[in-house]
Amino acid sequence: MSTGQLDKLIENLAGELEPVKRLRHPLLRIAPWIALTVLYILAVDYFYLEFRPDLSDKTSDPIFIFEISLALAAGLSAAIATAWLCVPDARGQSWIMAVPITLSLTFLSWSFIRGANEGLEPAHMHLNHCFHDGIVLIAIPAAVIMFLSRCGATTRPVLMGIMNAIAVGALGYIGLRLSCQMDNIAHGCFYHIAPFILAGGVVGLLARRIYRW
Amino acid sequence: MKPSNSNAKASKSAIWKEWAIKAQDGDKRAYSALLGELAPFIRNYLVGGLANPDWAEDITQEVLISVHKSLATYSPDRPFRPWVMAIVSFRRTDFLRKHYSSRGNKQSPLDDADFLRTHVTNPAHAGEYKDIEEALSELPEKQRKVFQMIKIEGYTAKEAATELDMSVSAVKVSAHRTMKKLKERLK
Repeated sequence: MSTGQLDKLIENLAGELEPVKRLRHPLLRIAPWIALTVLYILAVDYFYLEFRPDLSDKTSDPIFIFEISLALAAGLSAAIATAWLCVPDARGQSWIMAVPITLSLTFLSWSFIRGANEGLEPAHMHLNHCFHDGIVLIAIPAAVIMFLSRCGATTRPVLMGIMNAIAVGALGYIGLRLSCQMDNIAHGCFYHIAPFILAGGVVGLLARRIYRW
Repeated sequence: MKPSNSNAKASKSAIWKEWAIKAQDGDKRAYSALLGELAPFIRNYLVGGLANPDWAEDITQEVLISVHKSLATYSPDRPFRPWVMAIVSFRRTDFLRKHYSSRGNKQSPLDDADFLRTHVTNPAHAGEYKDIEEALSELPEKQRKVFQMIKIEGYTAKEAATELDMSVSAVKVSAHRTMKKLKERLK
């Protein structure tokens, strides 16, 4: 390409310029998604799946509270990181991405340690409603967060895919734990965690296409 | 010397930032000035790190289009240079990924005009390639194939060994000996 062609390109781009609406601050962009997703998950649990009958007892179970808090922290931080990644230089704060990754790895490690202690017994491996419920819980929030991500201009599409997957997966996991009464770790790993990891893997593989701009 | 350079860099960044903000408001003159200054800056930044100077032109073009598409994501409370450099780095990686995944680096025969144009620093030296070709044609078939794959087409020793059903060390030795032979032949 010659300098003349480059000059022509600049002339064309300048000619096409229209005033643009600046992207709002990442926190302001993602806050509605977080609020609506939490409301949506609670609404699905309340009206469609029904909260687990022992939920009030579980609120005094420190392990359950720790598990939900860890998943919530991972989900919220991943959603915030998603908003930062919409800007090409992530506003110079790439460290934000380390928070959800660390929390997610802590969560997974904790689950595997539990699995190693309690055992992943095949007796619990039966097909049930959780897989279907998981899809109901995450389909709409996933579509919305991917749309929001595509409105930005990420320079790290794979990381964006991972952040989207953690955000949606963690909040979906909480939704399942609030409705499914099965506390067995084998059930949790195979029906509450693995489908979200698989979905995240698919998004990660297709990330360059999904978030292309 | 250094402080004045960094001052010039900072003032340039401040001007770009100002133009970018005006461009977001629809000021075509500021936008044109911004792109006009960015184009040589990006090209000069890229050209040293690429095997082919023409790629720098192509990537610069893609970066300018990307700046245009993503102008809304620039935030006036942030410096302009890191924002644009993130785009430059992204487009360069993207370009190189596409180039290497299409194995474009392994598809250029020696007598391809495009290959000569992009790989011969001075086209006036193209005749020397003819001498090399002649010297190569005198080599045994297998030796020539090894040399061509390793030294011209950019295959790794492992890839060439798999393709030619040889051991990796045999491929390396053959390429080394051929190189030595050619050097003597072309003295």
